Amino acid sequence: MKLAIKDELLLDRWRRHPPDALAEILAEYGRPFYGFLIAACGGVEETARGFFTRVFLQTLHSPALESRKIPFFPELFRYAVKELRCLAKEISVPSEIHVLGRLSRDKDIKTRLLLCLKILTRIPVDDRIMILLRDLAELEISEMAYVMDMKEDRLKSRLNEARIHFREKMNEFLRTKEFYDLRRG
Amino acid sequence: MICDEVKPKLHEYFEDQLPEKDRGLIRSHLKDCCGCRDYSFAFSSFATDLRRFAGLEPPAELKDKVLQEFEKPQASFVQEPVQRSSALWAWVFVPMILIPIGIGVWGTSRQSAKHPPALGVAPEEEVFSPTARLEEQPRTSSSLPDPLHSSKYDITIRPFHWDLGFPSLEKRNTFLARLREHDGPLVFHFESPSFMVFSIPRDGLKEVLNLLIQAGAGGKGGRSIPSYIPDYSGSARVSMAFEIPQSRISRTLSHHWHLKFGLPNKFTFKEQLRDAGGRFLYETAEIWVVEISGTDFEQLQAIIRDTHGLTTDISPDLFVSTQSYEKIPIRITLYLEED
Repeated sequence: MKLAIKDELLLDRWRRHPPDALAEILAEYGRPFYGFLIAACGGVEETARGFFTRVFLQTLHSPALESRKIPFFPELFRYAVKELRCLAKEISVPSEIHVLGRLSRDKDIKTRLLLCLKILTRIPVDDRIMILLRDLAELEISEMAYVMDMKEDRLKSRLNEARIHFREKMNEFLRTKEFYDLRRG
Repeated sequence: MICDEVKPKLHEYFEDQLPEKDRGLIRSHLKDCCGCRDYSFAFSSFATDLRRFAGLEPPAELKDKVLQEFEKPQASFVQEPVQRSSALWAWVFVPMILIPIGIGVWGTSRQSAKHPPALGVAPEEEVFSPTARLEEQPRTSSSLPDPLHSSKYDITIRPFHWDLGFPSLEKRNTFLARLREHDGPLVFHFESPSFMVFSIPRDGLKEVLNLLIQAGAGGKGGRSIPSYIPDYSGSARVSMAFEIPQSRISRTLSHHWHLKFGLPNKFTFKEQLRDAGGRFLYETAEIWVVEISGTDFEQLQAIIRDTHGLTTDISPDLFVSTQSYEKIPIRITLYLEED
């Protein structure tokens, strides 16, 4: 994985003015990362907040980052994935998710988002993480391979399996009364 | 095509992974079948919907908390996250291994397994101190990489003017020409799809920002260009980089960027727009700018819907605004360069 110029410059800034650089890092990466955590935690904002601070600060002290071999963004997700795997079985989607109101006012979109969260929590944690890394955080395959600690070829096939898994769960869910109620409001 | 054939293929259909023949069949089926259209609701924009989460702004107090934690002399975050599964393994296997050694040793080891090291306590050598780091790393200009003269960068300079939000190549050239005319030496380092990096005298920052706004970078009025300029007192020069976040740049369709908007044929769109009395002004990687009177906004939506190829709804990915074309975020980062 090649270190982007952006990361080089950011790391230099980090060495010179850590507080300034941190504010910059938060502005740069805070948003997609927070969204990732929210989605991975089934829309429960309190859980995501707990992760946010801890993972961010862990990443700032990552040895790989210190040795300037790894870009900040994938490193952030690597730590997040480790934490999320520990939480795997404790995630459940609440009936009302306040954060959805901040994403869209459209009722249809909110329903779809809720649906996505419900399906994501029904698939294995690694599948969920891979889908979110690719579709939400838009990581490259090489970056994802680093985050998930897999070879790229293996990751591609696992990602495909994860999508199939997601589709199967979606198909199952679409036949339930819960979906009917959700759709009709 | 019947419903049972269509449903298993919907996911691939919405992810553009089907051959054109199948896509056409599914498209025509969705037009006619109300049940499948309803069913496709869930698949239609799964990836796009998920991407919405990426725009979720973390609360300000959360950012403050990170900064506060960071300022603390003893950080509790430096340890690797503890895997619960490994703790379980320790509970199971540590006593099993230690039993044959002896009851006394077993007792001691069991005691230690009961009390694993506290999570929040960092080893002494890993205590974080930003000040110490600054002392270790004296502020010298030599540690700032010079991208122009460094062999480790493989940079091909190409006029990616659109990615930086300039309305046209001409505007981008004018901007650089004016920069060169500016008082004091300008060092233009390079530009990439998401970067333009150059050094300017410190007192010329405001003028450069004004030039950026005049050149139309960042959309109408340059609203996304920050007016805040950090105070680098004592520095003679700064390096300046401005960029568009990578996530906003199409990865796979950079050469056919009209497709990014989901239009199978942008020329049909333009024709219909012209017929409706509208005017296509220009396009960049991020935006299309069209001119149409406010009362005809619904007509514009209808044109988009007709040329979009989907009968269900306009893709949520498509942003249509009658206000302005101000949706390109540009971040400007300033880097200190000492004498």
